Amino acid sequence: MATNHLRRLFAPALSRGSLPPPVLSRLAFFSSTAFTDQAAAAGAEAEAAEKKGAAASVAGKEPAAEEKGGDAGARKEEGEDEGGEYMNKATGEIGGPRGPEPTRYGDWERGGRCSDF
Amino acid sequence: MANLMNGFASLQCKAMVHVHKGHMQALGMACLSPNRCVQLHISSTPHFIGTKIVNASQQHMRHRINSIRASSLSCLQDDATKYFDFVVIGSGVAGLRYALEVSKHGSVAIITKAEPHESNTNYAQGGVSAVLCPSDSVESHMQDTIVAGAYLCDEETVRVVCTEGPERVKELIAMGASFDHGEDGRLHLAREGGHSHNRIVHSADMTGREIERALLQAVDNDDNISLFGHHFAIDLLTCQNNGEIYCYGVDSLDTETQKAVRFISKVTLLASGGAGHIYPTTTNPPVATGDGIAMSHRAQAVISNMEFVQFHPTALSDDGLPIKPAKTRENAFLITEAVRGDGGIIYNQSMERFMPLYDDRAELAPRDVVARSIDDQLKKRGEKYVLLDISHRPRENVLAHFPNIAAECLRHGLDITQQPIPVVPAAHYMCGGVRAGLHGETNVKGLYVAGEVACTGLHGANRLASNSLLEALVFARRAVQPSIDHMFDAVVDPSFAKKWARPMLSVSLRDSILSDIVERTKQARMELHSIMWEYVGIVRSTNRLKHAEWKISDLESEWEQFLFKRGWKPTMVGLEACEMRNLFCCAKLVVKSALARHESRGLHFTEDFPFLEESKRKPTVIFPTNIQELTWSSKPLQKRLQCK
Repeated sequence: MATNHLRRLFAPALSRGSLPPPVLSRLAFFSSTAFTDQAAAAGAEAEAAEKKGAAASVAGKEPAAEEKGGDAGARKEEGEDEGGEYMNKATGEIGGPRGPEPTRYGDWERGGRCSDF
Repeated sequence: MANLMNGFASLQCKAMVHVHKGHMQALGMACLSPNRCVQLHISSTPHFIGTKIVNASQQHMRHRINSIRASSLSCLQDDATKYFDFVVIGSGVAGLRYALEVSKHGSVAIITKAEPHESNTNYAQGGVSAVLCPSDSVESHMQDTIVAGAYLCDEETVRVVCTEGPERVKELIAMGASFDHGEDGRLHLAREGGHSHNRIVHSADMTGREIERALLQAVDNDDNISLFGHHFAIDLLTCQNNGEIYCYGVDSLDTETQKAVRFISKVTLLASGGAGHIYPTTTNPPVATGDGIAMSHRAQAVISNMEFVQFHPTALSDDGLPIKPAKTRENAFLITEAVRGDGGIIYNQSMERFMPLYDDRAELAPRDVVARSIDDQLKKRGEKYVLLDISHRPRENVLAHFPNIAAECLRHGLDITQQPIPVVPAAHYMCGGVRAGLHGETNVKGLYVAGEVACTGLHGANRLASNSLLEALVFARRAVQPSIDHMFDAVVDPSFAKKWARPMLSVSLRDSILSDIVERTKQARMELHSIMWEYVGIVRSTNRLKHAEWKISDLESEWEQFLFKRGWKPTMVGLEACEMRNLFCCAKLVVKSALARHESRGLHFTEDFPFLEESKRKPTVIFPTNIQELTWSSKPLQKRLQCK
């Protein structure tokens, strides 16, 4: 049947010969399991990112923070002075893109145009 | 993680040095007839690193001597020949990053075929992935990379890249690239598909452009770096000594003055990017014609994994727009996953919804599955595009979420709130390329590679999002020390410039002949596009690949005959013809590699072998071909020389 043929065409690839653990083969065929639950993941990610941000700032040992802290300090002052730089209230990101999170469906999009995936 | 794969670089040690058939038989491999490639078992042998240990004073002495040599040679520079310690081909992130390091040790020329900023890097708007969050780990990034790569990645390469990534990103920041951050000053890290942690560093939506800007500025400020824009690289200058091939620079064509310029160097870094333009629809800018891969193949470098071409499933199809764009779109407009995520449905041109026939997740199946499904429909139905319909969603939402698509389509007479969007898959990234070891070294001495042109083993059978900028940064940096070491030992004198015959300029042909040739070349390119899309697309088969092989061969012969009948000489150069010969070369490498892989893995899917085969989990490797049999696209302009 045509339907069966099409599904078999793209059915999860099962390896022959010596089998690696089946779950790995399945993962290997498709690009990522992350896609199986995109909508839920999108919401959860925003929360998780915030929590990570908070936890990380408490730990405060990351060298990037020191460098960026200096820059950020300067930029924040500029931002406050000029009132220019956009801050995303949900994620706390400064200078980022406005609107919905560009990676909410796994690729990088702006206004519908995708530039990375 | 089990010891999944064996040394990628170790193969280099064992086999790459010996390009003669006889020796390959001794190594137990199948006898290589020309134009055949093999999949090899790779055993664990120590890595070939190619560095030497010298003490500090020896180093200093050599450095001084070589600097003196370089500066005295530079007095001999004329328009036709230039001498540099290092030549970099390509001005994307890999080329620029490398140049900025090696310039501390010698003179550097960067040659780039258009404007310096014109590279795939500039269009890489997404981000750079790196482990920058304390709750993230190198192991996790490695795992994500290897899973995405369908277990074809070289584990050591993945470890090196994921480990060194964070440091490379910090250096970029120190060089002035500014990335988005949070209120607390920490880098804002996004999470793209396939990543299990937030680890994408980005600059609003133009990360690549921001990185390119920062690096170009640093290059501008560096007196030891000379940037040559509009210099098209034609062929690497190589010679042979004791069975080894050495690279001493590159011939180029200054496309503004139409003059040939020879760059003689001790070290050459190839960072020339991808080959998207072997396909009709691609996200790559027009410069991406696979020049570096082709030049390397002609210079006897080993090529690997060319069958793994990454496509994006839904690029805007100009063929389906009511008002066609005035001129061919230079790089594809990709329609985001979010359109499908928000409820977009895909139909064929008979308005039949087909995704549920291929996968239970329908439009929300992973991108590779969607790409294959669309490709399958297009080939079966002989059509040029499918339809992505979001018009059933509330108008305000569509316009609010997808203003860029709405505007672009409206410009061409299509209202996406009323009508479906015509889409077609677009070629985006080459996971394969010139085979590189852990320091970007190749089997050609003095030739290093970094970025998309290289096949380092990081991406395996499919690239993880945002790993490409990372790979470029890491390998550009890793190639630095071996390059410096090689430079100390290399001896170059003015007589080198005369070793190789000079290219002939095509402008010596009559105008009418030249314009015929340019026209015929444009046609040949379109025909090649058609063959590649039809027969070497996303869903492949042995039959179609063999078909592609002979069609491309025929097309190439016809085109070459056309040129030579009109007075074109084998050492003649012109931009269109040289790009065409590179496209032919890359197209053939893709077909050859695809035919060699008797399984489906990652980006390579073939109906004749639709399953993964554990025994086939190894890279595809193409060795240099027998020189007698070659077409113009497969031979360097000059005969192979002995070094002495």
